[in-house]
Amino acid sequence: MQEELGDEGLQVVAVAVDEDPEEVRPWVEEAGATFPVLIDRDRRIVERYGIVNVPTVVWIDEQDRIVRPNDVAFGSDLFFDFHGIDSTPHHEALERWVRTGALELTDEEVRARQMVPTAEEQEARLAFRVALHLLRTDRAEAAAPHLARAAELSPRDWTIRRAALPLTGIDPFVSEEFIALYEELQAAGGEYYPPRPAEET
Amino acid sequence: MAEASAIIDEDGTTHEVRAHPTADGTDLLVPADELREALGWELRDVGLCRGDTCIPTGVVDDLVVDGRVAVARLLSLVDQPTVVDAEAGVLAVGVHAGERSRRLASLEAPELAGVPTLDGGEVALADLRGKRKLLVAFASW
Repeated sequence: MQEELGDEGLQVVAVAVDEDPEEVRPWVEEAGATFPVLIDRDRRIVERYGIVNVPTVVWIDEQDRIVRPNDVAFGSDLFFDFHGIDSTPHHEALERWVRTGALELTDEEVRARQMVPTAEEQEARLAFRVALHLLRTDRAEAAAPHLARAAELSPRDWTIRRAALPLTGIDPFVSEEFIALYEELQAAGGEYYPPRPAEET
Repeated sequence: MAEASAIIDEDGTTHEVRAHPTADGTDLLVPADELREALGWELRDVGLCRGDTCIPTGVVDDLVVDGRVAVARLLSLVDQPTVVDAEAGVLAVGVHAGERSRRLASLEAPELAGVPTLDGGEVALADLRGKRKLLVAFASW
């Protein structure tokens, strides 16, 4: 995408919501990425932008204004079978914006669609940061109640719930714990990815 | 009695401080000068101040004890969310949900600086001024 639209002025900025840059490096090198990849281990960018899941995209214009809010969309169809969301509408809209400057949403519509945090979600981020600190200083046992509290306060924040799995040595993709988590969310009537607002043409 | 403790500020930066738990184990007592270093709160004659905000210490019991500040107590007085594990010596303070929501609703893109890139550098929004930017948050998990 950066290659395709980079010549037309698009600047991709990737933010890895990960603890360890070395977990991210192979993906980035394989993709041949030439854009900056921020390693958000202290969860600063996700808090500043109100990001609760990945992948999430935000469009920022030339004057550093948000013109498409924190939203779930995909750079490729890699996970199509799993999430059932087609990346094509986002890609087409992105091309239009880059090439012509055309935007689908007015400022008011952007605001209406923004995910903004509740008090519980802000507290969850803090509990998670406390847990991260304790994990990094080899106090996993002390971290556990804070991870649990974070998940309890913000059950839809997948940057917390899913990130907590590998931090405690559990494989997030194939483990029973992850499957249980997914089933729990389904049972609660939620979706793995929050539903997208209707695409406007 | 003070032990190596950590205050994680609202932007996620960890500051090491010497602190000890309060008697009831719900808060951390941090020396005033270390608190100033970590969170910018300063002990003055009028009270504990940060920018234009001052908390008169004379009227709040047990806020400042022997030059040490009860940090979670202070932060609750100014309505900042806090999570504290006094026993483990860790406190994290955050941005109030209403404040974060307000900033997001302004549609001004939050800063990108202060987070290292994969090649060890940093990127500020200003570095990318004049470009249409696609921010993509992703993860290995």
